[in-house]
Amino acid sequence: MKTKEVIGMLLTVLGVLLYIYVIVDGAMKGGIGVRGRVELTPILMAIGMYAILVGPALWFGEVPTAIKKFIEAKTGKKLT
Amino acid sequence: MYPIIVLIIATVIYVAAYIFYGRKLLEQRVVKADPRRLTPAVEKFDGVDYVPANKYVLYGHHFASIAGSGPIVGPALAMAYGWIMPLVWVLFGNVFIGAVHDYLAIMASVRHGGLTLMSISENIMGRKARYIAVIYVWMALVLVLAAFFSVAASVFVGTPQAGFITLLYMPIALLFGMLVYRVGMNLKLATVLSLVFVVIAFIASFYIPYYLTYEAWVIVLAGYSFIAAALPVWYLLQPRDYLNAYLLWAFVALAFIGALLVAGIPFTGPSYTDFAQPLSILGAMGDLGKLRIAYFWPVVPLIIACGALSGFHSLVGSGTTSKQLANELDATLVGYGGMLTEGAVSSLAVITPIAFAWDFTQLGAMLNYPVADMLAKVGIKVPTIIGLAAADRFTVGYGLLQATAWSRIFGTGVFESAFIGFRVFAATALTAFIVTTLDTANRLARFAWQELFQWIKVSPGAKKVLTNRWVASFISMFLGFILAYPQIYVPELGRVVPAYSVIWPAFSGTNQLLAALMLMTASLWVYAVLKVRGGVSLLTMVPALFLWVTVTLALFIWIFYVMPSLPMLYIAIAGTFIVVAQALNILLLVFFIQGIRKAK
Repeated sequence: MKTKEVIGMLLTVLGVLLYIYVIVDGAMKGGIGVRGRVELTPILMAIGMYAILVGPALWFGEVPTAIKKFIEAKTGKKLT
Repeated sequence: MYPIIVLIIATVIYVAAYIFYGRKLLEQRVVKADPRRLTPAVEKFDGVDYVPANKYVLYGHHFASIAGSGPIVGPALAMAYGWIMPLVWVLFGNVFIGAVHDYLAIMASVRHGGLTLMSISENIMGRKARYIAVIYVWMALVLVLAAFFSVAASVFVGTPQAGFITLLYMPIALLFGMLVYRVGMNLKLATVLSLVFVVIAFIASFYIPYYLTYEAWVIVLAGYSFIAAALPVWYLLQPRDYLNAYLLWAFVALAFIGALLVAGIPFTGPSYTDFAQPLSILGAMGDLGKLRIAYFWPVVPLIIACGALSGFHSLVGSGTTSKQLANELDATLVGYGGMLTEGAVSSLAVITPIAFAWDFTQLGAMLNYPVADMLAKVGIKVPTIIGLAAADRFTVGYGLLQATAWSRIFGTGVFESAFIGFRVFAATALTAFIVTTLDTANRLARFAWQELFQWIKVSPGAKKVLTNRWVASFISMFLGFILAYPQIYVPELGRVVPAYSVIWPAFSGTNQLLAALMLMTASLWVYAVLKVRGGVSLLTMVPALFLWVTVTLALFIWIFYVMPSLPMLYIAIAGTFIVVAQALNILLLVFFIQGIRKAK
């Protein structure tokens, strides 16, 4: 695995764990954070969102095979 | 007036326009679309920006990207004129200006290898025109970002359930993309699975609302737009926008069904009224109201943006959509159809519900249900809908129309819970519109910023730094963030209002003027390159010039009467942008006239 992919995997796992923690905590307290204040848990969930956005892009970043095949069929050229 | 009549009129106009104006005229007579011609998505495939998409996926992306808060907040603000004039402007603008503009922007770009309309303007109006257009576009996009950060943050604060759904929606969209593109799962199965997750998130949001302050939301959204704008389109943008289209279709379909179910109940709102009514929230436009110069024409384009037409659409159309179009024939559904769908959102899901639910006491009397008391329980203590901020007018109007509709079937016992549920649904749809637009707007601002440095000469080292995709994304995002972050104190109301109330006219005006300029560019392309002559060519030229005159006049009114009353931050940034934009606008008109002369 390349370094980029390892970082991507770690970010993805971190993001998922943060989501699980914040949602479970929120379900027990009846909400994530408190109206009119900035609490830690909503911030953690926002960080989790960023990690989930970036993580899989680094982990599985290359162009999917389905799209590659479509282009090759249309243009008749082999993509590298 | 009854909602059902508006529904019938709008539907007939949209269907007829799509068939006769979109397909028969634009596709077959003007552009002569050819399914055999290779599109840039195929010819220039790069796996990041040039990626062909299924036409329904692309329709979802285009529709969700063009539909920011404009089709909702703009008409909701314009309801201060009563419901007739906003409805007429939306229908007229959709069919004759907005949809034509969007379709031609996509096709002109497709025929120029996926270039933006700014680059195409170089071919037909010269290099100076191109760079003037690029500067103008970049400034307009910063204002788009500012307005949308602010609208979305204020909706999330008011409806914390929508915040929870949005934060879950992103991972669900990524999962959908992975299932379709990587695992190779059947599209229908992946769609159903993902939509089930979305429904679960919606239900869970009532038990786990997500609370942040306005300022913290602006920071989170700015961070999101910065990151998401740099990700490959197939990874987040395509799958998310595809799923969004289902959400948005459900939203429009429910508006349609709601209007049918309340067929016998008339609007409680006035058809025409004074723009500056007591206690109504007009934001920066209130100054025009006080001076008695908020005339519907030419001021309307400073208020209703994307619902009728929008220059931002040409940037999406020639920026991201044209690079994903797999077949030329798909452009009519995506471009012309996408704009009509957006118009349907404005006319059926915003104007109709607000006009219906305008007077809470009168509505309660007609329904024999204490509507005003129920609203007071959830913190809405104004007598009419016009006393609410624009985004709240929409969510409350939509919620009340739906609650009325469904309580006719299930009894008034469900009224309150239906109102709360549909209000959250409306807020979710609004924020889904906005969030998708945020990263598209930042991506396009990055393109424009980078394009600018092909012209402005700086040292190679500085150029490398300034055009780096992260730096380019950050600069646009940061300026938008600065404008959106503060909340403005309004002495007349005795409280703060979100920044969008102040930014809106500047955003809307530059956006509408951009539409006029881009429609002029597209018209010139039709005239000079496609060699279309006679009455057909006038069908694009005349609306373009009408729009140019309208918006230019409106922006002069803004500069002289509105801008001086704004806080210094907004004079410094938004004011400078508008003044520079007006100067560039005049220059572009000169280039346009020269282009027409040359083409003759």
